Amino acid sequence: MATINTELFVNQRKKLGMSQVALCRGICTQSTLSKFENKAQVPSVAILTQLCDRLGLSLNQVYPEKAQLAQEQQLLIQLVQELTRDDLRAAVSLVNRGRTLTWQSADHQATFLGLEVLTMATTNQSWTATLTVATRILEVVDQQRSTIATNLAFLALAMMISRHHDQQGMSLYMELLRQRMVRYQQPEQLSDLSAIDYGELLLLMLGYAALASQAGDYSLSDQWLHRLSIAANQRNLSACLPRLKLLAAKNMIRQDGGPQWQVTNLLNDAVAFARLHNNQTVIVQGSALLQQQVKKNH
Amino acid sequence: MDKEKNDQLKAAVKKALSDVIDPELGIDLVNLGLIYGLEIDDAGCCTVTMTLTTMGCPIGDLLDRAIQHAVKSVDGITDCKIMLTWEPAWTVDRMSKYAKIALGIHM
Repeated sequence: MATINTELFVNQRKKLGMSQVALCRGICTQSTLSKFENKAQVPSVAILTQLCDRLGLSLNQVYPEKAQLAQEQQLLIQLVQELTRDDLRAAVSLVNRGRTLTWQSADHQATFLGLEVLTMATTNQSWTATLTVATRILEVVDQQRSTIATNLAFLALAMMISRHHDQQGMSLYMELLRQRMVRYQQPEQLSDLSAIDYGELLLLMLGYAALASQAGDYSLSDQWLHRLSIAANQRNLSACLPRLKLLAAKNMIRQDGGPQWQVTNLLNDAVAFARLHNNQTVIVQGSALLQQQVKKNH
Repeated sequence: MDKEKNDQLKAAVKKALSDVIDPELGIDLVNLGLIYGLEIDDAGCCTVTMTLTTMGCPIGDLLDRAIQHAVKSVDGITDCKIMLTWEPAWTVDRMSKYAKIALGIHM
């Protein structure tokens, strides 16, 4: 417990003339507080944060390591949210912040790199820089090649290849991804994932569906949109629905399949969900497509 | 170049840019609110400061050429530079009323 500044904590309590009973009231038992002050046991971050608050101290002053981990988590949660909402500017800004951090948790860092490479590929950043991050994930971070971050690295590379209209390259990546995505096909396999990892996985599924659509494999794209919809439902996550519905509509339009009302319904849903989640990109693109559909009918 | 002439040229460039249509949305760049600024120097070189509706789509070759062509078509303009920026962020609010109606966006 060398990294926990219990002396500062105890001194502050005494300086404020607060008894242990007064400090812990409504937060935890006196026994818990006493054990902490005697360096016998650390309470949960939630409890410790509240105790510090009452003393006018920040968690960072008393338990900097935990504060850092909480900070890392916050950044990752926000980054997943912004990528899901299509707020790429905010995502880029968060990625830049993440690059300055000395990551304490290896897991957090791996997750960050996966989101970083996805952001870079989505915003068309230099292919050399993107390739470097992807390589880092594959070689340094995830040598087992088994995490979501690895699959995001491959997805990012595939996205870049698809922009160069390299047929052979695309076939290679699509086959690679197809094999790797198999493990996410059964919803039961996903139940152990943390909230952040789950959010990251939804982004992977969405990105893969979009790539398949771009490659002209609409039925593959629809399959994965369907799986994404089930996975999102599983945890009541609706933020990915705008993009999901928009892509489903585009797939239908591109295939010239499905009755007009189905396409219109999907687009209306996409725009409605987009308003709810303030996804400007989908509001604009969805509305534009709706207008085109209306024109088709006249 | 005096201010009056400069303003005249800027107005002409803006008019020319309103003929450049975003292929995905079917609305011109000016009505979409994507043109943030125009600067014309004494040599007749015009710098267009603009943004896109999303960071996710590159300013494709087609659009780049269309902008260049439109700007250079104005008498008195000798060159065109495109400065892409992401600040301030583009939102639907920056669209003109005409654009919002055309896209059926009522906000």
